[in-house]
This record gives sequence, C-alpha cells and structure tokens, in this order.
Amino acid sequence: MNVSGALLVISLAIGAAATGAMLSSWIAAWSGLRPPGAAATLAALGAPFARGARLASRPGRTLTKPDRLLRASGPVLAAGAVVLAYAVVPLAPATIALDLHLGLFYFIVILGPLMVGFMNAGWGVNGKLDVVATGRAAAHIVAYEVTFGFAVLGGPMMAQTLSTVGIVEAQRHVWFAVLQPGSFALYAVSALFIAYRYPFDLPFGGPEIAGGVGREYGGIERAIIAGVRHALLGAVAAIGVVVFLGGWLGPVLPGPVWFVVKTVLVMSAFSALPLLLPRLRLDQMLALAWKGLLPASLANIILVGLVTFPAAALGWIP
Amino acid sequence: MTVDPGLVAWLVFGLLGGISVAAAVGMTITMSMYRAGLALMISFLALAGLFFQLGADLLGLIQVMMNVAGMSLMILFMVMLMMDPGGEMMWDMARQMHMPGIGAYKMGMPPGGLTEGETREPEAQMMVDMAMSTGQVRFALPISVVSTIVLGFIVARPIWPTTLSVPSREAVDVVGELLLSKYMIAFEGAALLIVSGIVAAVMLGRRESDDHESAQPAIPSVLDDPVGPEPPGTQHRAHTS
Repeated sequence: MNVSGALLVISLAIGAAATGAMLSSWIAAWSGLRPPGAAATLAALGAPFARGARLASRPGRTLTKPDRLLRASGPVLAAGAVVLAYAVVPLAPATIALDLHLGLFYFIVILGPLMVGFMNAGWGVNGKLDVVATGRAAAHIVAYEVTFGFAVLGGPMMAQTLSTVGIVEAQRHVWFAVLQPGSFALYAVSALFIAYRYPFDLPFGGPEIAGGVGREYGGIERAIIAGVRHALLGAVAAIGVVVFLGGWLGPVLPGPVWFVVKTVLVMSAFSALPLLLPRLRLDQMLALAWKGLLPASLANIILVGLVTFPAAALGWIP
Repeated sequence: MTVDPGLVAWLVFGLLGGISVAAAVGMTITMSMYRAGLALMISFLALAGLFFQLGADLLGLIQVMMNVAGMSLMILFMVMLMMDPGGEMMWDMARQMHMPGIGAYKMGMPPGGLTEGETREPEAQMMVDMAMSTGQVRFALPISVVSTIVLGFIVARPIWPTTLSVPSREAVDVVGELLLSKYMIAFEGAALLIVSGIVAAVMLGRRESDDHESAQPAIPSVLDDPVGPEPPGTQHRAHTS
C-alpha cells in the first residue's frame, strides 16, 4: 500500500464514521413523535463534530485494578482493523488501496482483530459487567464470521474471483442482488450482526449492562470506540454494495459518486429499519445465528451452485 | 540509497520469529488467563506474518482467521469456566501478573506445595488456586527445554530444498482443485468428522423437553449473571482449614 492508498483508506474510514454519526443523529431526531424542524435537521450535519468533541472532552473514570495494557490496546486495535478493512473497498476500478486477489476473504478475516480489540476494551476494565460484555463479544465473533462469510460467498461463486474489483466487474449487466435475493437477505441480517447494530448490539447492549464494551473509557478513546462502530457499519455496507449492488456501476454519474450514494443508502437502511424490531437476548441471537442463518446460508450456497454451474456451462455468465 | 532486499527479508523474518517466540514465552509466564490466550493468538499471528513473507497469502489469511476466532473462543470458554473471571476476587491484575514463580517468592510464598504446619495468607492461597502455573513451573521448564532441543535437531537435520520459482496461478484455484481431486478422501473425511462433532455437541446441549419441570436446574453461567459470584474469601478460607 503506497501513501495515496493509505490516505484513501483513512479518509474513507473517517468519512464513514462521520456519516454514521450524522445518520444516527438524524434517525434519533426523526424517530420522535413530532418531526423535527429544519433547524434540527441542519444541526445534525454538525453532529459528528459535536458528539466527537463531547465524548473526547469527557474525563475517564479512575478504575481500581485495570489491566492497563489490554485497556489501552482496545481502541488502537479496533481502529487499526477497521481502517485496514477499507483497503479492499473499491471506489472505482483504479481507486482502491489494495486490489488483492483474495480481497473479499481478506475483509472477512481483518474484522476478527477488531473484535479482539473490543474484547480487550471490555476485559481490561476488570469489572463484572465488562466481563459479561467481553463474553458476549467473544460469542458474537463465531456467530457471525461463518454466517457472513457464507452469505457473501454467492458473489464470488458467480464472479469466479475473490477480488473486489473483479466481483463488481462481473455485475456489469445485472446486479447479484437481483440474481441472488436469498444471499442478499442473508447478508443483510448478518451485516447487522457484524456491525453490532441494534437488534444484535449485545456486547454494547444498552441499559442491561450499562453500555457494555468501552463504557469506562473517557476522552479520545471513547470517541474512537464510538467512531469505530460507525466506520464498521460503513465498511460492511460498502462490501455489500460491492458484492450485491454493483459497486461503482451506474449511469450518468461518475463511479465513485455512485459507490458513495449506494453505501450511504445501505448504511441508512441498516441504521433505521432494525429499529422496528425488538432487541434479542443473547441466547435468542445465538440460536438465530446457529440454527437459522447457518443452515440457510449453506442451503443458499448449494442453490447458487446449482444455478451457477449450468449458467456458466451455457456461457451466460463468465 | 538502496537497501538490500535480502537483508530486509532477514530483518522481517527475525522480527516475526522474535515476536512469535516472545509471545509464546509470555503465554507461559503470565498469571492472567486472558493474557495467556491473547499471547498465544499473537504468537500464531506472527507465524501468519511468516506465511505472508513467503508469498502464501491464502495460508496466512486462513491462519489469521482460524487463530483469531479460535483463541477468542478459547478465551470465552476460560472466562465461562474460570472460578472468578475478573470480579473482586481477581488477583491484582496490575501488580502480580508477571512471573508467577518470582512473584510467589516476592510474597514470601514457596512456589511449590506447603510443608507441614506452614500457614499461608488467604491472599497467597487464592493466588495458588487461580494461577495456571505456579506449582507447575518446575515441570514445565524441563519439558520445554527438552522439546526445544528435540525440535532443534529436527530443524537442523535435513537439507531444506529451496526454490526461486513463484506460483503461476492463484493459490485459491490450486488449493480448491487439490482438495477436490488428490486430497478428496481426506477433505470429505474431515467434513464427516466435523459433522459428527456437531451432532455430538447438539446431543450434549439438547434440552429435555418432555420433563422440563423436573429436570435439574442448569448450571448458571457467569455470563448470564450480572450480579456475579458470591463475595470473596468464603470458599478459600474453608478450603485452607
């Protein structure tokens, strides 16, 4: 990765974090009984800066016996992993930091260390609720990694490559979301898992464990943890756009614009629509992952294979 | 100014190998189970770095994926099964986490067992109960020295073939073809093994639906219990007396 690639990756991550903060602020404003006025809508544009500054200026709590090394490593690991995940996100055929031939697999793999960062952030506090949050985080990773990997596998199966650029190129005529609605639905659910969005945000889980992972941080570390969660949503949405929604492909407008528009739309959907659902308990979440999504994604792989093989033999797809 | 690529390769190799060995040593001497699991993860991730250095991207990524998820799972199970995963009874994480043997001496406590008539502070007893290796260091050290020597012989013995050629095709294609042609029996056998493991796990974890009322109450997991275990000291004092 050269200097321009690194700059691209970092600016993508920061932009996604700011967009996520803005979206959550808007959704919070619009989910009230009365629609907000124009002033409140405009004020949400400044939300990332206001929220970031407020979090960063908040003092941390003095803990009795923290594991200082693990506690400090949490935000660093999480932020590093989410920035690295953006390396395989292609804004356009040439606008990509690392065009790996294993790009999609790399994306799935690089989110593991992010999870470890969250686990360290919880464990380093040396408190009871934080241990609960750490355990939930560890249970989370195995629940989503396999399911998410199998869900997005439909794209590479049809495109015959794991390169993110290659997968988008293969959708020149028709998007994979149209060809594989089942894969897309599985992706949408497991993406909420992987991004810790509302029904599946158990490591951070609301009032029951007092905010979960990262609750004891103060200052810039707190702001980083919040930003990483928004940037993570952006990364998962971007990969969904690559695999299912045709990436940068689109009429009239230039490619990167299309890519950003699609990604922001997917991020909005992931932020807003799950609010209609009830929050799941840990055992319900794991049961959904292991008993529901995993068999469904395996069946989906077989289905895609059954469709793809004759289609490739007849020369309909590359 | 030009840098010799061979020198850079040696430096990277030495760095990754050093991290791997240092993390493995750290795993054996830390008091914290969580840190031990994490150190093992770091050790394997450094090995993944060696795979990347050799140009084996696929193997390296698989190594990262398996070990990050696997070690996280191991940590999860340790947290679930530990007597007190990080509550008030947890040994002072900042102070005495390193070097159980030396730490034990620093507390005036013999690293082995107690002799007759010797008493021990409850704190020290707690430390022995919770340490992974306090009493085991004297066994572990000779075993590790012997296995290091044996492994050294194995490494030094053969003449390792070297090649300058690079793979001509993507590794995914080659590995996929090999798995479904030459190594198909082993591949399918592994699949069968995993399926039987899953079936066994499901059978073990299955709830009895017919006599649900009369069944034994499930062992409460620490993860489900935000109140935490009982107050410190009670079990340990009883244990020592």
